[in-house]
Amino acid sequence: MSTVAGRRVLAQLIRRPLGLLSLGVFAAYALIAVGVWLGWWGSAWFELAGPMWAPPSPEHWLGTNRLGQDILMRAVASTATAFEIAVPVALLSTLIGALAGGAAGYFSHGWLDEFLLWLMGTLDAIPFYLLVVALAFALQGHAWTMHLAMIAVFWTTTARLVRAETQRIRELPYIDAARVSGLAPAQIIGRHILPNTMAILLVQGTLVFIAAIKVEVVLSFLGIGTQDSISWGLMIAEGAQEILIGQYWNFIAASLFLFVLVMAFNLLADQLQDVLDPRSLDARAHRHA
Amino acid sequence: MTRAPDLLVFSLRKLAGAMPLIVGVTLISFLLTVYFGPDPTHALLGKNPTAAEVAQLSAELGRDRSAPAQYLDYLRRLLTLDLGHSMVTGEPVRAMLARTIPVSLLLLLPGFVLGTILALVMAAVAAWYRGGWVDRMISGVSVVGMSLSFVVILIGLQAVFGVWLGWFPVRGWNVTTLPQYLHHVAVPTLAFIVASLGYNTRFFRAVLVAELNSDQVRNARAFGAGPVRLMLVHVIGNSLLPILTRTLFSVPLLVLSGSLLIESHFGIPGVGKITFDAVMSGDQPVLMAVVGLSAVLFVITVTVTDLLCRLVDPRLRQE
Amino acid sequence: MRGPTAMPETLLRVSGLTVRLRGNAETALVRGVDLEMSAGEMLGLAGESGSGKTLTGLSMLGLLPPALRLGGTSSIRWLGRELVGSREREWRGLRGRDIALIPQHPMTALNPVSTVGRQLAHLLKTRRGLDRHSARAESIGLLRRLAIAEPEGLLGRYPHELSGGTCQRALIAMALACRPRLIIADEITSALDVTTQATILEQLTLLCRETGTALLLITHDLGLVARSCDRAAVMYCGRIVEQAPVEDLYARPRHPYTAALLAAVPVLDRDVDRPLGTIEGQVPDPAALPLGCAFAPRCAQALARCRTDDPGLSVEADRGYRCFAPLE
Repeated sequence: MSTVAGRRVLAQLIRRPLGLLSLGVFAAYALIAVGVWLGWWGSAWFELAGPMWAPPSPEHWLGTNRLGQDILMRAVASTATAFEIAVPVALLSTLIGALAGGAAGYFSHGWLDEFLLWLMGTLDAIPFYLLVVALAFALQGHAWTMHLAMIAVFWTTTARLVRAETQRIRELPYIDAARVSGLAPAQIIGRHILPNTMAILLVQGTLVFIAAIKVEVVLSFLGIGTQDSISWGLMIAEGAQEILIGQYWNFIAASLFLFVLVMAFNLLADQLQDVLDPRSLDARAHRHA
Repeated sequence: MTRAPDLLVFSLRKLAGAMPLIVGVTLISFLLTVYFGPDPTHALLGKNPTAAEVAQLSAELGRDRSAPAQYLDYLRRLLTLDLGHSMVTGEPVRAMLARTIPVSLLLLLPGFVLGTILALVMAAVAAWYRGGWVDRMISGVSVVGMSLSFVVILIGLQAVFGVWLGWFPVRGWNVTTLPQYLHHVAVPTLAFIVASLGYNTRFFRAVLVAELNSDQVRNARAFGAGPVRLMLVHVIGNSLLPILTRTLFSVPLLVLSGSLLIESHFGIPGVGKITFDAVMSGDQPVLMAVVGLSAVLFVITVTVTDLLCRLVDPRLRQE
Repeated sequence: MRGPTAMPETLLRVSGLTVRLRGNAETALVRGVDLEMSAGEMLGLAGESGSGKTLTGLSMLGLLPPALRLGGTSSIRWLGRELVGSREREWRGLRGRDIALIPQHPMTALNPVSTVGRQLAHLLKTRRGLDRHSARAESIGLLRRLAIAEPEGLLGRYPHELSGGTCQRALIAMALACRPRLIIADEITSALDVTTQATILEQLTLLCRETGTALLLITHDLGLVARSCDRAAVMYCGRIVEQAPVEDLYARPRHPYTAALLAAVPVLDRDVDRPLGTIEGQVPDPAALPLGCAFAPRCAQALARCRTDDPGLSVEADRGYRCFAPLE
């Protein structure tokens, strides 16, 4: 998609109330994350800033946890963690999905296609969390285990959609023209086919972003996710214990931060799909709760 | 109508067609849990083993053989259910599974069934009043449900019903009678229903709306079919394929992913709990069995789904 | 507009029927249609696609798509009872009982997961109270009269196993099974090949005449109307521009549009040397209808007045037309 088309999509999104709202929420979260990276705020999430179990107050807006750490600051710092996981996972799995789907669709029913289909079927056949758990087991605490596991699973849906679209585009006359003019398959796929699947890639990228954030929470909650940092999943895991003794703030803060971002992204994905392709709203596969 | 021998031939052919999938799935589980997994030799022998001891145990565990030979051995053990013993407790893995699988099924089944049915009902109502305020409300609820993490739903319900209201137990699985069972299964079931209302309502609604706009439904209306018959016979009757496929395909995912989370959080002794514990303690035989068997479960699900689809849709029966 | 001698019961009286887009008061797809059907009458409603003929038919069943609504002037009376504004329940009591529809696309109109026999039997059981056994016998009888060679075999078949013509016959059988007083046949032959078209229509009209069922034949083909109907109404841009007994309409069309449509029918051309007529120009967009007569931009006879004023209905014996410059 050219920048002109990109700008048109953005303009259409902004004109819709829900599109504007979801983009605004996303921008706010992105700003929070950037602020954490630049050290503007949230970098002291591990400091013991006050008394333990302090209720919300002007110093600690959302109170403190059992160590006296500021809950709001931890939730803010977790935003950066969420982006650190979701952005690379969304980008890489979309990229891999696009390349694999493009190649499989272009050479459909060839050996490469058969192999990729087999691989996708196999990966989709293993229950997701089990695959992650098994990967975690095999990699034994490697820093990128979580990223790797998510990418390994999330690229398949994108690849299937791109494959189908490529099969359709491949039959169009201008691809024949490109072939006759001597372009190599890789060039045809890269220059003429994949740019035309941008709508799929954009929507899928958004959906993978949501899925990555939600999966991080589950894995961190289980204790096999984020290590040596802070994340909403870890806060919820803490909160799950604290709830038993009547301390709700940790859980509420992390859940709200998580919910608002995911909700905004779900709405954004809907609006994007509406703008890009009014036909197929809801035709997408949501597999990873 | 399809006769029984046809069905048998069909399922056998399906299973044969699923061979590449079975190989793929077992290969990946072999690679992850056995081949690349941490070497259990040292864990078993404790501190400072002699070289001879290591070599002997390696041979016992089959780790000194080539990868293909190890894989074939792995396949054989899966197929014959020769699953070995837990490295942590020494209990036979088969006995562990026999003990935990019923617990997980009891735990998950009510939520799965109720969640699916409720989602279908909500979707049918939304689809019937599509575009109206009822539809918009249901769709709104469903987006909210979809945006809630399952973990948050689970803990939120636990906080409200377990801690705050004190109606249901907060953790554990102390079940011998039916009232005890209902008592323990309530919160997980509610959590599944909330999650299902998020994801499934949306999907089912889209499927039903597409069918409601079809020619055959308009024609049935022209012949005077009432709303109940229209919805049940003409709309849902013709949407069973996507509904069945989605519902059944979610079974293996649900059984393991769902039980992993719920059981480890509530401390319920099901498959999910022993899987989680196996990961944490590096208990390779347990993990190997669970991953391998869940792959087999998936292949069976695919076959059963295909079969059911053929039963409900005559268009798939001709070959 | 009927002759004074025979006075059969009036089944349906449509007047001022207007169909609009919801949320758009400007655009009308049907603009003030007046129609009357007596018991046993065969009326052909002809027009190009987009003329509003199908919407007119669907309005009579209360089956307009959700995006459309009836305009305020619309009145549809069935046996004297006003239907406009009635509840879905009342419409339901009419559909498949008093009025049956034979739909446009036979291949997609039957329920794909049920056999022809079950679909027919359901109607016979619920509409006519037959038991399973007599429903089966009646189904076989109906299909046999539609020249189905092996009706017993057809009953066990699913729609996807049938040809378009057979599906259409099954649908006709379903319509007849309800013993309605009026059948609305919407472009029932356009999806079929020419020979099948002719036989199916012949069978349908024959059965309607036998049972005294009135037939509203909606089609783009005036040739079909000529062969099977008593009276014809020609629609253009949501309005009936001419209505007359079939013989009169064919012998002496008054509206230039009717004449142009007739010239486009190959079968009726007596003069073989004359090339088939085509109508110059395009059907105007319903959102941007010209002032005056909607046909004026394409009409060779058009007067200056035709482009400014809307021609009213001119009544002449048992026919009517809307034109300032009628043909002789």
